[in-house]
Amino acid sequence: MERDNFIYKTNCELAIVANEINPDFITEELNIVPDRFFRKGDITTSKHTTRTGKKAYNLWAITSKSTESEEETIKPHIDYLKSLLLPKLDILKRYKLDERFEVSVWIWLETNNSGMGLELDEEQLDFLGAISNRIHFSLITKK
Amino acid sequence: MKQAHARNLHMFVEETKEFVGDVALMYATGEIGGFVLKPVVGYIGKGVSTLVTEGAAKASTTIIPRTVGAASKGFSKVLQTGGHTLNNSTLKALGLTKEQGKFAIEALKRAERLPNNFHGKIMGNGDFLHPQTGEWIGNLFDYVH
Repeated sequence: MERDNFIYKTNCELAIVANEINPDFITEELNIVPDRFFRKGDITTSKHTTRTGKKAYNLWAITSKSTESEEETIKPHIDYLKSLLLPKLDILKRYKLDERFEVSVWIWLETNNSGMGLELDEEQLDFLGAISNRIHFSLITKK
Repeated sequence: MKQAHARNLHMFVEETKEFVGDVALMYATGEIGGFVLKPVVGYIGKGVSTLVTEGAAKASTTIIPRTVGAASKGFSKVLQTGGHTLNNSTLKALGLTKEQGKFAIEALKRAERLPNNFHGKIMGNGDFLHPQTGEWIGNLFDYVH
């Protein structure tokens, strides 16, 4: 990120969190292999302190590949999610309405600029709104 | 006046003993190496080196998990509970820049899919705990970029 031009490092992740529904069920129903997942009760360990904890819920997630660009856009990432998920729209809409699931999209933005502007068009908003209960933006800027 | 001096001296000795005991415990549990212990002893004076020896001997007779050892040096101290951002004092205590801190907390929240209004307890060793249950969720240093 130490360059003359401003660089925007971005990616998007869709995650489905469920208390009782196993990630294997989601993998099978969506027919998509997750980029990461964990099961309720899985043991997790800190690399820093070797402390361990138990996962309190199930998680299934797919993530777009992180990209570096000079453009302030997340379009390639939303397009990636659309390419995978549009054929599964009915299932995801069902998950969104089902209280046993929480579907969220996490948009990750890093920049060596002091800030950034971002716009989502109507089509992108419709897609994200149709499949998710919430959208989170993580914006990491340099001083 | 003399009583005040005596009281201050007593407090100094007690605090020094506690400090040296902590350092010895940290040494014995492997939290710090001799390169830290020696200057500490040298700084305080040879007169208290016996306390270090006693402290280390006492500590070495007990199997102390690393996290408990860490507690002895204040690593289990709660640095922050609540708030949307990491406080400057929290960042300073953890030795992180604002950017590192922001990155770590966002990456942890993303990994665990925590909502934006989830404000965990941040401990002196970077542990991030559930504010109500105290359940361990992760460690900020695992996410430092």
